Amino acid sequence: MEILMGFFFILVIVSAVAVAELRDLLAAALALGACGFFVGILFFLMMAPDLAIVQLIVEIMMVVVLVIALARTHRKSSEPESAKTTLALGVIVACVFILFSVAVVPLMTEFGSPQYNPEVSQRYIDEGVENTGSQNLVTAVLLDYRAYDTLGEIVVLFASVLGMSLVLRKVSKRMAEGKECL
Amino acid sequence: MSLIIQTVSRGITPFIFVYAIYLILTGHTSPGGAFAGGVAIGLLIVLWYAAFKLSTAERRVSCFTAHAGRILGLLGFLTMGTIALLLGKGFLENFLPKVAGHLTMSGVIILLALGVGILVGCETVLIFYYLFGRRPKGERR
Repeated sequence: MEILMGFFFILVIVSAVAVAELRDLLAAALALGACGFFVGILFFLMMAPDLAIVQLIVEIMMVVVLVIALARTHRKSSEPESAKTTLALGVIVACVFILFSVAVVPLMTEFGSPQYNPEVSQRYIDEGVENTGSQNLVTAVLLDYRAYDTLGEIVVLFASVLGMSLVLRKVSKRMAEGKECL
Repeated sequence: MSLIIQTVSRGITPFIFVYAIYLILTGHTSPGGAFAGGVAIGLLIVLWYAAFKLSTAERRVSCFTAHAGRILGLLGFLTMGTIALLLGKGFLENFLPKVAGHLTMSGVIILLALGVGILVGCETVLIFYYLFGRRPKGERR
């Protein structure tokens, strides 16, 4: 299982580098789709099917939106090839990041162990099914224990689309000339 | 788009719709959930746009319908919470009978999931309409 996960992890890194380096933007969008697909498989191998489903569906939407946007603009990136100073900067940032990881990773708790309040997590796992009537603990937490969180999330989504509709809505001619407001 | 893509997308539409509804309504017994199901419904409209035209998608789900749907979803979510409050329980508390493992008896969870699913689906559709819809007159596309 670890070998399989390592294989897909390497594929994720390779496709992510391809996204950044490809000059053909259509190919970059497809590489981004491949990257998200491999991340979805990784979630599935880590036994998080809920997350894998969301990852795949949202990734499909992102790729479709990017391809439609590309169909309306230019296919080639107009950005010039990266200069040597950019490369040097990248190497320096990568070195700092790796040193930081080496220093910090040993201080982290073991993967999968709770960060705080372990008794709360254990309580959810032990009594979740009987408290909420939901066999899927993810749904139990989302829509029962932490329903306030979900309410906040959907209000944020609601407000962002409201703002978007105000900025991007169709405007009549009189309104555009300032003779009439809203 | 080509005839093949149009025919395939016409045939695949009911299956995607059923899968999205399945994801929303069985989130409490199997993997999935309201957010994923809602985005799947939104993707259906994106498929119609990609295969046909924006006007085809807008004829089936108009901007007004999507706005009404998202307001309905949010109001449904809040109503469920308020009913629990009126019954003397906490806000958004599960006040309906619940049986673990039953397909529909998970109390208020299934209703909340329906509200979230409708809201997320309509938001996805609206984001898409506003990003790729027609622009005001005189503005370059």
